[in-house]
Amino acid sequence: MDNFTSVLAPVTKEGADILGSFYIVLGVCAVIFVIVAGLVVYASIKFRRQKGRKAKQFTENFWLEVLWVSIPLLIVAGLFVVAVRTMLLVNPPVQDNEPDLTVVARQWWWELHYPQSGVTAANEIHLPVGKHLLLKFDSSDVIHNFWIPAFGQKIDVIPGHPNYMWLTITRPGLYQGTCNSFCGMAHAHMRILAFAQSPEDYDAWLAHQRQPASPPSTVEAAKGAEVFKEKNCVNCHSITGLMTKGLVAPDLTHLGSRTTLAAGTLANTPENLAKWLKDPQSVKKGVLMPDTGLETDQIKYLIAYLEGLK
Amino acid sequence: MNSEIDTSEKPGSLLEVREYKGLLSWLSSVDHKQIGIMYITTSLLFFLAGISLALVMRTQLIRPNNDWLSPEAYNQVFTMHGTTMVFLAIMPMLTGFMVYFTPLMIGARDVSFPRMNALGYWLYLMGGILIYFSYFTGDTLHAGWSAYAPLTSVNYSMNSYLVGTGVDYWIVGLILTGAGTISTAINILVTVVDLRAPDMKLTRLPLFVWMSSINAVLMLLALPALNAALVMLFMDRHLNALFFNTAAGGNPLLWEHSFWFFGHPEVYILILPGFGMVSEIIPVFSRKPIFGYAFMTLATVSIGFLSFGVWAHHMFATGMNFTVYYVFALTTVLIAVPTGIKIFNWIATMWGGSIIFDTAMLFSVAFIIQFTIGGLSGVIFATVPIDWTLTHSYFVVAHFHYTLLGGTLFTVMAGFYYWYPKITGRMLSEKLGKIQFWLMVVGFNGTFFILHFAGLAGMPRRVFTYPDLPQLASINLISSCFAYVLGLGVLIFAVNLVVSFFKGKLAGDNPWGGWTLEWATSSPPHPHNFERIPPVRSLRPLWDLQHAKEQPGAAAPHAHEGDSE
Repeated sequence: MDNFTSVLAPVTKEGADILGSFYIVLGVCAVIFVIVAGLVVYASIKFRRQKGRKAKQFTENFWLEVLWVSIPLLIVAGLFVVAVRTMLLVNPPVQDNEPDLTVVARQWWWELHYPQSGVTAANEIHLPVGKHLLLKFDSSDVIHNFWIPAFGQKIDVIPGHPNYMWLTITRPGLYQGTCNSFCGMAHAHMRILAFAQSPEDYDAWLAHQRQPASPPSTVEAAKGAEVFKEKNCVNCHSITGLMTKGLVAPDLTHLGSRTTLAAGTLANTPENLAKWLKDPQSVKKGVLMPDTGLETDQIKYLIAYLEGLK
Repeated sequence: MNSEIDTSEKPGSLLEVREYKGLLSWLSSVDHKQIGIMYITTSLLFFLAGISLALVMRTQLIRPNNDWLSPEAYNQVFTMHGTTMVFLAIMPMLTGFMVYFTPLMIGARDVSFPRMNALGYWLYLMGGILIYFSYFTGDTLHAGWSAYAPLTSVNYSMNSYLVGTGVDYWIVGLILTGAGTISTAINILVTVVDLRAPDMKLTRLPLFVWMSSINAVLMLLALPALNAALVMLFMDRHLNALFFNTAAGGNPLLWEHSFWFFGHPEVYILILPGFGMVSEIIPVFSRKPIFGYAFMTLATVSIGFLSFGVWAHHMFATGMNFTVYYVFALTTVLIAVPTGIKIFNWIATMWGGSIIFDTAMLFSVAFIIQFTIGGLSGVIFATVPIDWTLTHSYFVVAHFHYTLLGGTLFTVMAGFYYWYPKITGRMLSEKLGKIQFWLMVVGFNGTFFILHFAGLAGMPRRVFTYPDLPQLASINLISSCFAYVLGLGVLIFAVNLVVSFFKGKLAGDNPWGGWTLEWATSSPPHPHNFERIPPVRSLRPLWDLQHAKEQPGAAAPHAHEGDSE
């Protein structure tokens, strides 16, 4: 499966480094567990009550205690070294590097800014393969957490406390993730999709995203654009080229080119979009998008317009 | 002490104790035994509520995209499950055992401040009722038991992060139970310092009392930190204090630091009395004195110290300075060392013994193995970069259930089978006990071991639904099925508690051949505890007594073997 979301199958260099340290620590822990459990089981069988057995009444052995203080001390010292080494390997100092992508978490979706190209998008992240990328995270409301398991590490997204993460993606593909820190009602539906692309595809995507929205091509779509402006949509959403400046909801300039709706809740099809526009709460309970009271043909026009925003 | 009082009548069971007849004798009681029983009974009811909530959660998660519960309802359920288990079930259950057995084990008549003891219980009960009362207002906290600000701190109704009064009930309820816990902690400490029987030196203190005392120190230092944080949260919500509001210069990390400064010692508060219980049970059922008494005590003290220096390991993903990470990673792995000392000493106590596998011992042995798993996955989390990957995921859920359920709950079960005869005068059914034990071992490990893999497969905690990925679907299905097995085990336990209370075999003073002072009195003990306190010459006063009787005139042959002086 292309988007198998396991930390055991990392697609980044950082994820692989962390997995390496995980296997080292897991190995050590497994050995300790086998020893402890083995001793417990052995003692339980060997020293169970039997006819004629008398319990030996010894109470102390100083050197035995020294043994099981000092060996664990050495082990944990070793594990600490593994931790520090991997930390420095995975997240070197940020210094004044400019981020390749800034992620702003909001209840319950992800706002994406590509500062080097000025592109704004939402929920579906496109990143190039093979480049040492710096991601910056900020939150506009509560604490969220960004995690794509196949990328390895996660990071808390805290208001007023920008965080950073380094990523070097090694394999192109589509990877799923979610918000990991409970952030309110629709927390479970605050999903992320990441498209790891070859640098050429990535550049082509950026170039496409930089374009303003395509003008409506059919009569229905033109009517849809009017509905978009007349109804409350414009208060929150923005579409470049339509003279809208809504800033609190996802940018819809290229909605038609996305694969999902409502932060990964639904596949982006005309039927699903109709369901979403008709009653957002029934699709994603808690979502802040209000019921705009659209009529059936208004929804039809809007779909024609929005799905045309490739 | 009271060694001169002589009462010839011996109550056979709790129902026959004259002083305990009538509801009023309980409501107005300042007897540490009655208060202990009320603590334990109340906490058992909350425990049943908590486990029912857990089963509701596992039912919701049994298949992907399940819509049995709304997200709001599910969020309330997991929040109440955590709050209930930590504050209203496990902690007061342990407190109940501490309150009941500390005076008995040190040969005292009661605790130092009997009225304050009652106050502690009633504060706990009222706090618990207040938290559950929020269900009747139509809104219960739904932000997780850690209630992170600013999700919980902002209270404007439009565009609010979290609408409703559930947070306020939760805050006030926890402040009450917290105040109760603080008063009990003071009481236990003063009792142990002040009311020990003649010759009960600190080096002869049973390990349960040692660990309860250290536990009381932790409670005394940790709970006020929580209460202060709760007051700040309350002020943020109602007085616009802006402690946690970034826009006004506040900082949400302040809540995390305050909460976990309480929260990590709390983890040890939830396990130390359990350590104490198995440290009493394993020697008795192995027919040997505890191995390495001095090291056990020192290990407990060092856990107590270290537990206040590890809190930020709950915050390894918050993007703090690396130096901070180094310090907390180091203290966190270090705490594994004293924990390891305990585990090895328990094994050494079993070594060379003549082990009787009654239910209490079975739970203790399963505890050692399961707690080791939970401890080791804790070491995995102390490796910061691994924490960067696995924190907030189901791997964490598996980890802390191995410590709190496979750990603490199993010790408490052992404690119940061990001490129920002393408390009620009747034995719990061993037959039901063994059925319960195996159901719980299978149910617990089946539910939680596989959840490690849910975390590795990318499942975050606190989600009411998850995408239909084949690995997640099968892991959750298996986990849910085993959860019902675990639930059945708990149900059998509840039945056993009730049935044995009326029908159980009469216990007699000392059914297990224990050696500590609580076994030197009747079961249940008289309201004044002891008719005569045996001389305390070692860790095992009753062993000394027994062996002195066997060889009158000669010095007790093993009198000094348990004595670590």
